[in-house]
Amino acid sequence: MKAVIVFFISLSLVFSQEESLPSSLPSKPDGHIYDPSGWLLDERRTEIEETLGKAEREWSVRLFAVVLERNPAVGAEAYARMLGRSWGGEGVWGVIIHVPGIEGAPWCVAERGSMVKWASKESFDEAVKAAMDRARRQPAEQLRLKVACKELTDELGFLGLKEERIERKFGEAGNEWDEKAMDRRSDRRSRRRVLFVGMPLILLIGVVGFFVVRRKLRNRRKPFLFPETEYRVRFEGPWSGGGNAGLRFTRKVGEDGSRRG
Amino acid sequence: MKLMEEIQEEQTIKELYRAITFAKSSIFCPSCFVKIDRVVKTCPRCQFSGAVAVQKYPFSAPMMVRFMDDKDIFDFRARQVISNRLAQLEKKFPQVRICFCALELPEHVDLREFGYWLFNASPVEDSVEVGKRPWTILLLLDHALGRVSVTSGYAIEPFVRDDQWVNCLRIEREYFVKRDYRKAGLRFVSGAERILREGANLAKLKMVDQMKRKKRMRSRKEKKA
Repeated sequence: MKAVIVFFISLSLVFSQEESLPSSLPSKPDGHIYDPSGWLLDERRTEIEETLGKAEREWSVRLFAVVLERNPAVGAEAYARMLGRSWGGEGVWGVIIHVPGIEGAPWCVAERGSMVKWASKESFDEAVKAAMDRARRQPAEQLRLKVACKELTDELGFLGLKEERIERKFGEAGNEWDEKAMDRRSDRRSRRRVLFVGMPLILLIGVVGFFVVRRKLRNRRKPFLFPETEYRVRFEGPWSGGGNAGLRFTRKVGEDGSRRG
Repeated sequence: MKLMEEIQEEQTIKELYRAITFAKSSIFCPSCFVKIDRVVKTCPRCQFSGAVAVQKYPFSAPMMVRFMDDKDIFDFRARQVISNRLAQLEKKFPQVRICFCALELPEHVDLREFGYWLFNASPVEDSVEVGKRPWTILLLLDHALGRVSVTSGYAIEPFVRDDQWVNCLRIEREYFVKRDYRKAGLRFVSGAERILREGANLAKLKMVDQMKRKKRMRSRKEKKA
């Protein structure tokens, strides 16, 4: 009987424990802050929202600030991971979870997701850790959360920026390479086309030229016979009637032997 | 091409063309150089004729050969070079012969008139010469007085003009002035070749034209018949 009672008690304990586990995760907030208790001051809230919004807008890093009234049963980091996987999607995400009054808060869990190719896991984790260390040094709790958000935004933003730059560089290089390859290919193609069209044309011109030149040379070498004509016999000359083609190329000679013009 | 072949065939049967078909040169008296518009036996102005020329130059004329040059005005080298060039020209125009005569004449003797006499008075001793003489072009050079003239035979006359010869001589004038007769002779042969080619081209055109006309006439006659 005792054993049955112990069994039921332990079962109820287990169930009560289960209840303390989040039966369903809260739905993703409209902005980047989940603070159902309204612990954050409006001013801080606005600042944090702005910071986290910038991270998403500019670097596609989804960061969420979560304020819980008490520490979740699964542990703050585990809970943050569950939230992050639920809200963050495939990209880079991070959840900064804070439980007021608990020492060591806030905690942060972040994942590189499938998007991050150029930041190693070590450098990513190091960046997150450094951001959180800087935040924990702040004296006030709200300030700690704010600084945590700010630092994480900066760190991940930096990594994102770095990645973006690298991607862009590679992209540009790739594009350049592609353009060059395309140019080379089109050059080769146009050269081939020119060869295909030009070679026969050149050959044709050469052959035609050869025949034209050969014909001209033959015609030049070919003897020409003037036609026979009726002679215009005149002045009783049997072979020639004389002509009027004469030229003096020096000065006339005078009677005394001297030359005169 | 076909027409040209037909023309050559016609040439082989020695059809005579009227010289006027090709000739553009006017007729001049070789003594007084008056222009005459018809063929005459004696010049209507100065009464010049072959008989007058024979009386004027009562000595025997030399044989018409390539170089008539007793005083070696054209030296051996010049004769050789010019002969080679002439051989080339004769390949292209086998009927044509160019002769050079270098002499010294008194000033009162006109070179053109003397050329007429020499051309006609030079003995013709065989049939070869009979065939060649009308196709001869004679360059007469009076090297002492610095005169030069060209006389052409009846056969070649229709295809060349006096003004072409004068131009040719004018172009080569500087070589005659320098007494560089080798170069002058060579260049004269080149000039002659150019003139003959022009004449040949013109003759071809005229012959083609005549052939066409004849063909048309023939076909018209056939139609009428």
